[in-house]
Amino acid sequence: MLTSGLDYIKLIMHRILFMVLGVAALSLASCKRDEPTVYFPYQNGEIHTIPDGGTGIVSNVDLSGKGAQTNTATTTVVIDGTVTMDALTGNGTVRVPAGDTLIINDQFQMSGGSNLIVEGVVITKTFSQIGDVYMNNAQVYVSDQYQVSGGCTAYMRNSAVEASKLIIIGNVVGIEDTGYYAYNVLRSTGLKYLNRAGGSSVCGPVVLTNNNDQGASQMDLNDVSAEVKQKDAVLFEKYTALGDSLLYKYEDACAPVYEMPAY
Amino acid sequence: MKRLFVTLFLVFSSAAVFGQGYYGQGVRLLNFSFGVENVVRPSGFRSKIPPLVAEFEYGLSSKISLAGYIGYSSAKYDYHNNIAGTNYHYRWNSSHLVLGLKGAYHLGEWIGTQDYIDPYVGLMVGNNIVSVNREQLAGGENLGPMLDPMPSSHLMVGAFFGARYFVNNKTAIFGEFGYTTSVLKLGLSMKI
Repeated sequence: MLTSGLDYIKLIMHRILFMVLGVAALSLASCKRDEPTVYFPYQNGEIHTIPDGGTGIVSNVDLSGKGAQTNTATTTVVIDGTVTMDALTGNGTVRVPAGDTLIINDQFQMSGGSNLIVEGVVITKTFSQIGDVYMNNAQVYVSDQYQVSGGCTAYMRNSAVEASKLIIIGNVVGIEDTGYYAYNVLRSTGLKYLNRAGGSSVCGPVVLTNNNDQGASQMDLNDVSAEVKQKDAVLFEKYTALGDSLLYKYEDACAPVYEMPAY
Repeated sequence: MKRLFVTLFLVFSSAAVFGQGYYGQGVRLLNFSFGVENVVRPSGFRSKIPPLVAEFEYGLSSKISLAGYIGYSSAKYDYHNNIAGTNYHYRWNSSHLVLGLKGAYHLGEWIGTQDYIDPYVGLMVGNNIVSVNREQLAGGENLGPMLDPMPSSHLMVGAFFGARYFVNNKTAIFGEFGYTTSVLKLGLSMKI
């Protein structure tokens, strides 16, 4: 029996309060929400769809059997992890960051006006460079032919290229980093074919494992093994262990390049 | 959250001591409130600005009222990932403008508390107008990531219940639970 209107109001208030607490508990318990999925629309086999000025990422995927991949001018493709493609034609920018590996089963071509930035590893059958290439702590393995075409430059800083056939029609520039002097290596493997054309240049700390230049450059290759052994014994021993007992260097009269160009 | 419940309890319990208001036909109120636990933000987003709501409420009778409703809130979703050796940080910012109508049934007269407190239940319909932008806070090239699902504007229907206590004949405080813009709203009502 309620003794007063105040007790009645208190009873109502209690009921409301319990109801409120119950609903509140249910509401808050249901507040955990699913995270949205973040995706990159121009990745993997879709790099040809990257809009002008856009960037796509190809991440840890084997695209073997899916045909040649192509990116258009003004677009950028970033390689993430280990990526395998049948072939790649870069018309814009292709970047292989440090720690990442791009494997091309057949032909890799960087077209005129394009840029390839390698800070990781590139493995390909053939590599035709018509645009500029920036190799920074890079490893490039070409099982058949690597051609540096006329009018373009391969910039190298603490990097190495291995190729069965090495054809230099354009320019190779080793960066003489004032705080970090390191040789770059052009290593001949397989056929050990070296052809440097007239009008080309090979400048800076770039050494070769082959002195059998079959091109028309008329440039001499000097044995710099002793110099390399003195300045970088680790590198010298590494290539000696690989069977390259001597290292050579073109002595082009070039103005030194102290910094890697911005890319 | 505990403090909220305590506050709510005080709102309700204080009616027994201080109640002196009324609700009825022709009453016009301006209600201002802020919300806790934003329900109009996209799934997975975190609140930046909690729901802020303004309402104009009109008493059609001593039991039924209609209110125009405008609410605003904002939220964000952060995405961090190491891609190709670079730490990327993208943030999606969403803002939510809710325009709606609320209808409420007032129980004060029925349970005999109209002089102290005005409990009510109701429904709301509204349009949650969503705008989203993406910003890159760290990383290299803009990789143009997208969200799935992508937040978008949509109609919403909500239900609520609450109680209003008139501090005096002009001013009331209220608490409201339900699915409108937030699970809990706390606010101030002013008769005009």
